[in-house]
Amino acid sequence: MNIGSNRVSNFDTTKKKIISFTFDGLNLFGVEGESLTSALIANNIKLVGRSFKYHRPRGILAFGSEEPNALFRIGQGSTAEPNIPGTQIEIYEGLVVESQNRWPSLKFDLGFINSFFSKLIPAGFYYKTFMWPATMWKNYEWFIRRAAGLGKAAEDHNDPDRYEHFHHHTDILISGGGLAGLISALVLGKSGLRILIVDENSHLGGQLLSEDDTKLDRLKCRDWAKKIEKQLFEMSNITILKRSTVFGYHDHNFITVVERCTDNFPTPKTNIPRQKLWKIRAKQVLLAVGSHERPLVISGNDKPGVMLSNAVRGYLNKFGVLAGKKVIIATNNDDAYRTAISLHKAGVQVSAIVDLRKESNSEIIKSVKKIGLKVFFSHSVTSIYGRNSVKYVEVAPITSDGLDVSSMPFKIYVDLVAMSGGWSPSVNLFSQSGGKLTWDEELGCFKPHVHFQKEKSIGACNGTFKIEEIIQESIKTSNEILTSFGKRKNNEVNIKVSTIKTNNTIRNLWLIPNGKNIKFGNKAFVDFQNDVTSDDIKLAAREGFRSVEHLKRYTTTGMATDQGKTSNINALGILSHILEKPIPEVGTTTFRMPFTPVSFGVIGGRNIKALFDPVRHTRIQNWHRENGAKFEHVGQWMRAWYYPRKKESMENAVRREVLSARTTAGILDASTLGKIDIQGPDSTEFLNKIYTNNWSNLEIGKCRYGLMLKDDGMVMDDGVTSKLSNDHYHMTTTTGGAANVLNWLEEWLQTEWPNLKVYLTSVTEQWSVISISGPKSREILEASNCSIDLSNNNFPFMSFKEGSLSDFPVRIFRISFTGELSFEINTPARYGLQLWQTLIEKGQSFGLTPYGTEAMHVLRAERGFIIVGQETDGSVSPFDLGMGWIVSKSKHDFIGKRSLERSSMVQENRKQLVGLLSEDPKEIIPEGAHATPNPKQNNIDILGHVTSSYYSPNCRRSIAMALIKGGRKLIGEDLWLPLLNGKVIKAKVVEPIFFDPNGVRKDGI
Amino acid sequence: MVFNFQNAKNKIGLQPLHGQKKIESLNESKESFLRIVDPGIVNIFNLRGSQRSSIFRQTIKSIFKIELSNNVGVAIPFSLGVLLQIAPDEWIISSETEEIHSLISTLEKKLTKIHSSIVDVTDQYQVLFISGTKVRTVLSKGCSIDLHPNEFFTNQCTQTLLSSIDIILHCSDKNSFTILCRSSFANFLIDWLKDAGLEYNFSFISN
Repeated sequence: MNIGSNRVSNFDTTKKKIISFTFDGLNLFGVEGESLTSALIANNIKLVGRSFKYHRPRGILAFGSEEPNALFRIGQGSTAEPNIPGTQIEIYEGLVVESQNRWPSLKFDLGFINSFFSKLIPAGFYYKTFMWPATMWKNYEWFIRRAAGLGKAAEDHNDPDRYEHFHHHTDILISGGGLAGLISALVLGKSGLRILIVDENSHLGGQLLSEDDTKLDRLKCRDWAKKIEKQLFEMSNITILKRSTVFGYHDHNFITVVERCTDNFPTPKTNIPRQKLWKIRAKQVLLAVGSHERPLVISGNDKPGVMLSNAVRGYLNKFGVLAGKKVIIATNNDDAYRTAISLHKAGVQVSAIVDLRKESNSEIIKSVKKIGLKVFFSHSVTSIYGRNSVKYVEVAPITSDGLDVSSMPFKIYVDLVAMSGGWSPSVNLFSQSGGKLTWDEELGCFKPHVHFQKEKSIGACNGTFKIEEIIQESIKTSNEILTSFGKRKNNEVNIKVSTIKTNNTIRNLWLIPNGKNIKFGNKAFVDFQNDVTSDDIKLAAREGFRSVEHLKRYTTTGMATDQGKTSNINALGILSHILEKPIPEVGTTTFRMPFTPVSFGVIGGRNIKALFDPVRHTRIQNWHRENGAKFEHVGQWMRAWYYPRKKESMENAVRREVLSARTTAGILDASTLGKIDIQGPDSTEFLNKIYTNNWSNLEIGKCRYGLMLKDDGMVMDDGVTSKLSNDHYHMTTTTGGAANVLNWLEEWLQTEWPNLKVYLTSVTEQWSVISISGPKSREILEASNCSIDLSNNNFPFMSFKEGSLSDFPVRIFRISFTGELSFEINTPARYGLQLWQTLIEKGQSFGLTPYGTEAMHVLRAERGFIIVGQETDGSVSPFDLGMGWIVSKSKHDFIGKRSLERSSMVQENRKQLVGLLSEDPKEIIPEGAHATPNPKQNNIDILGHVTSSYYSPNCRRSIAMALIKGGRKLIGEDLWLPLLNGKVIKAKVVEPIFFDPNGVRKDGI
Repeated sequence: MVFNFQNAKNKIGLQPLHGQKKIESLNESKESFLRIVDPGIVNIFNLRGSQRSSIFRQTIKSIFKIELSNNVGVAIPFSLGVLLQIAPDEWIISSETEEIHSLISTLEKKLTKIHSSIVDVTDQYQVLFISGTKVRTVLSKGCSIDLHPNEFFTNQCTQTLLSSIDIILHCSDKNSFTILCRSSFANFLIDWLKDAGLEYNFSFISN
C-alpha cells in the first residue's frame, strides 16, 4: 500500500494503522490520526479546490482551523456535509471526500472562465452591474444564486445522525490545550477546583506538537505534552474535551462548544451522538487559544504550493509529511527560520530564505547561516508563477520605504513557498466576550487590552510568543485566579526549557511590491476564501468605502466560513496604508460567533421531529384517538377537533355534532381549561380586585362568570369561578390563558397586594372535565347512578354539587358554554378516562354524541358567547363586546377600572362586537375578512373584521361575529366584505346572538 | 380542602403513562446504566403557609416530626414520605402510602385557624424515579442547573426545566432522582428521557 511519496525518509509505518479513503473518486491511503490535508499532501495532491469567484486552482494553505482554501464535501448521501476544512478532518477508513466549486472536474473547471473576466467583476460588481433594467433583477438573481456558495448540501435532507445538547458548569474553563493551557491546568489542577479543558485536536499540546527544536523538562516538547495530558487526565476535578471547539463566548461567561464525538469513526456506534453542543457556565474563563500566522500579500500568493510557514513545519513535525522538495521561505520575522531548520533536517532543499527585514541578529539566524542556508535580508518573493502548482518565484530587494523593488528580480525554481507575514493573536473569543483590543506596534498585531467578563488571556492569544514568557505568564495568571477563588498559590510548577532563541522583530509590509503592474492571473490575494485581492481593497477605498466595516461589506473580506482568520489584519494593513492612517485609527471589524462553522444539526440537538415541542394530552386522549378523532393544536395541547364517522367530511361531522348537542346531548372533553385553587381569608377581596364584577354577594355552592382585564382596561381572560367555602374558590380560565393568568395573579399578589392573605395553586391537571350538554343531559346523568338530585330546583343554573357518578367522585357544575342544559363534571384526573367511557356507554341509548372543539365553537357562536383571543385581541374592552353589564359601577376598584374611564374608551366609533348575516345564507364569510361601508369605493374605508364565522346547522344558515367601528349603531344596515379573489359579500349587521335569544334552553325546559 | 375519595375506593385510577410498555431495554444482558420507574399513583399535596408563623412551624413539627428548614430547595424526609420546599412559603408533600391522607386531614384541621392552604394535587403530577450511574449526565442534556454531585446532592430539590418541561427535581440519593412533572407532559417527558438515555443502556419500568 502506498501511503504517499511525500513522507519523511524515516517514516515508521509499523506502529501505524493504514487508512484508505477516496478523494474525487481516487483511492488513497494515509495513516490513522493524521488530518485529511496531511494525507493529501503526502499523496502529492496539491490542487484541492477552486476559489469562490474566479474558480482559481487552490491548494492547502494552513494547518489548523484558519484554512481558507482546502474545503471539502465530506461523506455521501444523507450524511454529506459541505465546506469542511480538510485540516479539521481526521481521516478514517472509507472516508469519501469531494472537492468543491468545480465543473466538470477539479483539473478542468469551466468556471475558470471567470478569471478572464476578472476586470469586469471586481469588488462590489453586483451592486453596479445588476442595477438596470429593474425588471431583469429576477433573471440576474437566478444566476447569482446559482453562482453563490461553495459546496452543496446533502441532496437527502434526512440527516440520520444524532445530536446532543449538554449543560455543564465549571469553575474554570481553559480554552486551548497548548503550552499555556497545559501549564495553567498544572498550576490550577491541585486546588480541587472544577476545570474543563477544551481543545480542538485529538491530543493536547497545540503548537508543541509541531515543534522539534524545543525540550521541556528534558523531554521533546511533544512527549512532554503527552505526559502532561496523561497526568491531567488522571485528576478527577479536570475534564478534558478533545476534538472540541469553543465557538461562542456569550454574556455572563456562558460558553458554547461543539464536541465532534464520532466524526473520526467510519461507522459510529449506534445511538452515540455525532456531535454535542456543550452549554457551559464558567466562573472564570482562561483563553489560551494561540495565534494565526498571516500570509504575505504577494502577487500569485494563492497558487497551490504556497503555504504558511508554520503549516509546512506542522505537517513535517507532527505528521512526517513533506509539503515540497525545493522550498523558498518568505518571511518578515524569526519564526519562519524554524521551518527552514526543520526542513533542512528532513533533507528538503531550502533554496533561500528571503527576509523583508533589514537584519536580525538572533540566535536562530546564526544557526541557519551555520548550516549553510542562504538568507537574503531586505528581500522578498515578489511574484509567484505556475498554474496548478508553483513553478518558480521572482525575488527582489525591496526599497527601505517598502514601496518598490530596488533592482530587477531574479528567478528561483521551487515547488513550495513557505511564507510568514507575522502572527495575529486569535482574539475572536476575547472580542466576543466584549473585551477591547489594542494595537501592539512592536509585535505588529492586535492583542487583548480591556477585559469585560471574568476572563483572562494567556500565551500567543495575548501577544506572548516566546516559550519562556508563555510559561511565566501562565503560572502568574493561574496563581492570580487561585487567589481570586480564595485558594493558595501553587509555586510547584517549574518547567525547564531548552529551545532556540528568537526575537520578536518584524517588518510589516502589507503589500509586497513587484516593480510592475500585476499581470493577469497573478493577483495578490488578501482573502483567499472570498477571492478578495489587494486591488479590490484599493478600489473600495477609492470608491469611498473607507470605514473598515464598509470595506468588509463591499469587498466581503473576512466574511466567509473562515471568518477572515488569515485575511483580516492584512486587509486592515493595506487600508491603513492607502488611507495613510495608523492601524489603530482604522480599527477592526466585529468578531462574531461562530469561531468555526457549526452544523445546523448540533444547534437543533434533540429538539427535532416529535421532540421539537412538548405536546400535551388530556387523560381521555386514548379514547379520542381510538374513536377516530381529528385533533387540533390549542397552545401545546392536542384537543379533539371533531369525530368523523366513516368517510364523513369535516363539515358534515361538525354539523352532526352541533345538532346532537341541541337535540339530544353532546359530550366534550374540556379538561384543558385552566383551573386555579384560591384559598385564604382575603380571597373574595382578591376576586373583587381581579374581576370587573362583584364577588362579595356570591353564596357558597354558587358559580359566577367573570371577565378579567389588563391594567389598560382591555379584556385579558374570562371564566367561571365557584365558591367552595367562605375562603376557598375554584377559578377556571381559558385553555390558552391558564399559565399567563396564574402568573398575572401571582404578580399582583406578590408585588402590589402582599397584604392580601391569599394562596393560589394550579389544579388544571388535577381534574378531568367532561361537559355534557343538551336536552337529554340530565337524563343521561340520572341513568348513570348519580348521587346528586339534578332537578332545577335542587341544582339551579350557576351552582355546583359534589357527589358520585357511577361511583366516581365528582364535582358537577351547572354552567353552560352552549346555551343548552349542561353539566360540567369534574373528577380527579385518574378517573377521567373511565368516567368518560362509562358516560359514553350510558348515554348511547339517549343519542349522546362526542363533539370536538370545532362544534364547541359553533355552539357558543350560535349563542353569541365570546372566545377571548378570537373576539378579543388585547384592544377590546368589555363595553366593546356589549358586556357592560359585567362591569361593576359600585366597586371601589378593580384592575382596569381607571383605564375604562379614559375618553377614548367611550368614543362612539370604537370597534364593537356585532353579528353579521350574509345575504346568501349558504355563504360563509371567511374569518378575518374586512368590512367596508361601500363595495365600489376604490380607497376602501375599513370598518373592522370578522372574528368568528361558521355555518350554523341550528339556524340553518351561516353566522358571523365581527368587530365593527360604531357597530352597535349600524345594526340593521348592510356592509360589504371584499375578498382576495375579487368577490364582494354583502351582509347585514345584527345583534351578536343567533339562537335562543332569551337563553331559555339552559334549564332544559 | 381535600376531596373526598371514599366513594371511589373500588375504582382503579389511571396515571398518564398507563398503557406504556412495561419494561423496555436496549440490551437486557448488559448492566443497566439508567433506570426509569413509573411508580403509578404517588400522593402529592401542595402546602402553603408562612414560616414566620410559629403555629405553622409547630404544627408541621408535631405532625411530620421534622423541623422545617429556612432554605428553599431542601427536601426533608419524614416517616411516610418527603417534604420538598420549593418556594419560601410553598412545600410539596409526597408520599407513596395511603396513610398520608389521615395525616393530611389532621394537618388541615390544625391549620384552619391560620392562613394556609393544602391542595391535593396527586392527579396533577406524574412522578418518575430515575436512577443509575449516568443519571446526572442524562438529566444534564436537558437541564441547565448544575447537577454536579457536590452542587446538587442528596435531599436537595428545585423547580427547573427539563428540555422545555417544567419539573420539580429531587435528589433522593447520589445517583437517584425523583421527577415531578405536570401529567399532561408525562408522555413527552418519557419519550425525551428514553431518547436522551439511548446513548446508555436503560430500562423503563411501569407499574
